[in-house]
Amino acid sequence: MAVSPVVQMFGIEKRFGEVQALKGVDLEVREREVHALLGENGAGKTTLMRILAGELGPDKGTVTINGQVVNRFSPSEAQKRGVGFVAQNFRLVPTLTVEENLSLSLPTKALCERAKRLAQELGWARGWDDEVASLSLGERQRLEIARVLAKEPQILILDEPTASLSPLEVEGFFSLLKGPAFDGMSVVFITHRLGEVAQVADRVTILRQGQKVGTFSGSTPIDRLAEMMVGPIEVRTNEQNRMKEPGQLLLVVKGLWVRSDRGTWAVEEAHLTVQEGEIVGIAGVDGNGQRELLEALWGIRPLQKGEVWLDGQPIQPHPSLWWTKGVAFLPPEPTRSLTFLSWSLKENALVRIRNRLSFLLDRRSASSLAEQWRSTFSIQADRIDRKVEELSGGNRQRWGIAMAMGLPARLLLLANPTQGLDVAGAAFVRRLILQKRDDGCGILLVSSDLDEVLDLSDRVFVISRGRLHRTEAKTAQEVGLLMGGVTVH
Amino acid sequence: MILRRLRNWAVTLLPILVGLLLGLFLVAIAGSASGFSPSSVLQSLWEGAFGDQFAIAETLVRSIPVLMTGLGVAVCFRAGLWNIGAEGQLIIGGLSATALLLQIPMPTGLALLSGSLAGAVGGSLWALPAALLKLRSGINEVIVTLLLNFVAAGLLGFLVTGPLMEQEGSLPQTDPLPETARWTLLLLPTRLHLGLFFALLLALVLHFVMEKTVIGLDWKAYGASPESAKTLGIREDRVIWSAFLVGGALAGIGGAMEVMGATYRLYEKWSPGYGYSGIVAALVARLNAAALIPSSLLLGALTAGGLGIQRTLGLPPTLTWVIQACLLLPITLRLRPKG
Repeated sequence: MAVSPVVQMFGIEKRFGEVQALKGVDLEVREREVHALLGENGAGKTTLMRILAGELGPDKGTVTINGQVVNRFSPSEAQKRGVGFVAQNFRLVPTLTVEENLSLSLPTKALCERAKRLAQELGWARGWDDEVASLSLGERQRLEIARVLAKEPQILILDEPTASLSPLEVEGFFSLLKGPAFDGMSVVFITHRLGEVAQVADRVTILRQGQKVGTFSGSTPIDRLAEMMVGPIEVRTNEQNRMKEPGQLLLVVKGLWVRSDRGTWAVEEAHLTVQEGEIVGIAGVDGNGQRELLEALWGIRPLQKGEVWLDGQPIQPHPSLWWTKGVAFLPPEPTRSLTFLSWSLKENALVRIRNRLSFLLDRRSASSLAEQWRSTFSIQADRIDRKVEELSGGNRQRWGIAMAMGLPARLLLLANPTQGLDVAGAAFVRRLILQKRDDGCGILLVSSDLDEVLDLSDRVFVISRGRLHRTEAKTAQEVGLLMGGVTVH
Repeated sequence: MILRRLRNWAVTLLPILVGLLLGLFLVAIAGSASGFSPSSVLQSLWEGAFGDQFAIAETLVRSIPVLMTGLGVAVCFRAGLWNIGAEGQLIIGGLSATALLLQIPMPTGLALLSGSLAGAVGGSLWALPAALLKLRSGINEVIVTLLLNFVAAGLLGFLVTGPLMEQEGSLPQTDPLPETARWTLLLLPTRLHLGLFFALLLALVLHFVMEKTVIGLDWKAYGASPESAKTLGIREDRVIWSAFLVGGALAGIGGAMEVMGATYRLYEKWSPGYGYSGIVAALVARLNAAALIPSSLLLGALTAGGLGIQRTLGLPPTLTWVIQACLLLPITLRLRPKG
């Protein structure tokens, strides 16, 4: 294998307002290698790659692609030099169809056809005339990757490609990464999941707080990598599952049927209960009805058949009713559907407490709540009148979790609570979930992170093609098989 | 802290200033194309708005309906509902008040109150189809509200030449309102009337509602992110109904005020486009009810100034719409989709 560098970045510095995002970072990417860029949220990974993709200009430092120094930083310039960038937040127009989205950025018919072929190689199973809004995150990602690959980049940057994928999808994605679609390319992929480094990366560069820790072989032991990524502090908690007798019955779901956006049955006859002081986990690959189930329970999607009971009484689910009854919801994409990006942290907190108010707003309580969340949830913002959109991705995610879990609740409905968080953030959220459980809160935990469901839950369901299956399985492997439709005996 | 505040002020005021200067520049050019020196055009514009006691009073009188429609527009825009129908709501408000007050003689206080109420009801009714159609069938409110403006103007034209036409005489206009149904004049012999203070009071009340109450927060939250607002328990239907109800009522009261305070009767082309100026005023004020007070004053001055250039130079008063449009340009450039 050739080892000549295709990309060389030297002493890159970048400042956003008061934040020095990159403090003199070097990076070298070799031909045909898979290079992982590892670091926690806010370490500067995405910023560094946006510079390489020409979306940002560095304050200092040089970028060399194929031996030529880059002077002008623009996405089209970078594309000409063979750089393809798949951003974490996909740049797709949700109201247009798949086909239309492709032709938006791919000027010729041949390119579109190639993108479609690549999408199929990546396991595409949807129609070309489907609206992008109806696609799952994993499907959108496949589309986005195919679109970028169609331009045959020499260097492909993937920003957190596995963040929105379920475990099985991740496996599939990694085998693709080794496969023919990516042949001959140098791939840089941004991640904070240690396990992925060993799985696919030839080499790994670790960033911490805007500085490079070093570049290492992909076979470096995981615990070594973890140590270098998070620094000298001990972050892993002992997530012992303490059994405590569950209390009264809180939530009962009887024979729930819910339709998807496309009118097909997304959830078929779901039965489940949640008691005080227990965590009920629902594991499953994204797109098997989890979103629809939660949305119907929360009252933002019509439930076609079935009943929802709270405290032994049937109720008509509605968000405002749930909040006033002490039930809280963390939706699948909290930055989009639980927070107000263009608003300050304190105004966000104000909306969160509105259900307690009858007429007048209480800005003082909202401000102190925002301050409290900022410190409890380690939100990196200097003031609470910073807007959510000014925060980094991980901080936005944590802010969404604060909005959902930051006030006392009797019942929590959580969707992928640790998705997109770094090791420390995820550990914090898991601790918080267990603590809420021990305080007597009932929790419905829906997650595509299998280990998370198994680690935290007292009872486990698997959702597969809209059907809930109760399982006693204790290992990830067994449940994984169930999710794939294989029954274990 | 002070520096940041100064910068915020500059960022807010600069686009307005740029738009205003650009508009004045274009109007001056248009004037010189008609053979008037730029300075004489600008001078008569100024004198029409602020030249003497009459001009200032006229500026204030003209800014009242602009303020009222601007408030109505601001409520809906804050909720992300693009209500372009303040003009129609103003007309129907004026019509309802006039019809009521011409039919039933009432003592002064009661007349002013019931006239304003009739205006509010009329304006609301004219806004509600937009809410209904948006909620039931997802029809875009821009289309509904805009088209209803033309229906309202047509209705006014029909009524003043038919059922509501004056008893004696043959002009296409209504009878004048009785003395008891008119706002007290403040500064004789100008047209300045007490309705000004009623409008200012309503602006302050609305500012309070928008900034300090749950319903104001609901409007703004739904406008900023409908999805997050719904997840957090804000009822979409209530937001849409209430925003159009309040927005329409404010514009309708503006219409009632205009007829009870300034014109005393209705006629064809009764509103010179106050509802559209209200949109400009609301956007210039960045949808802030308190800031609408100075911004509608600016628009009122432009309207009065337009009459000035018509009076002294014979140029069409609609020339000042160029300035209004220029005011919008830098502001719309800054507006971006929220998500």
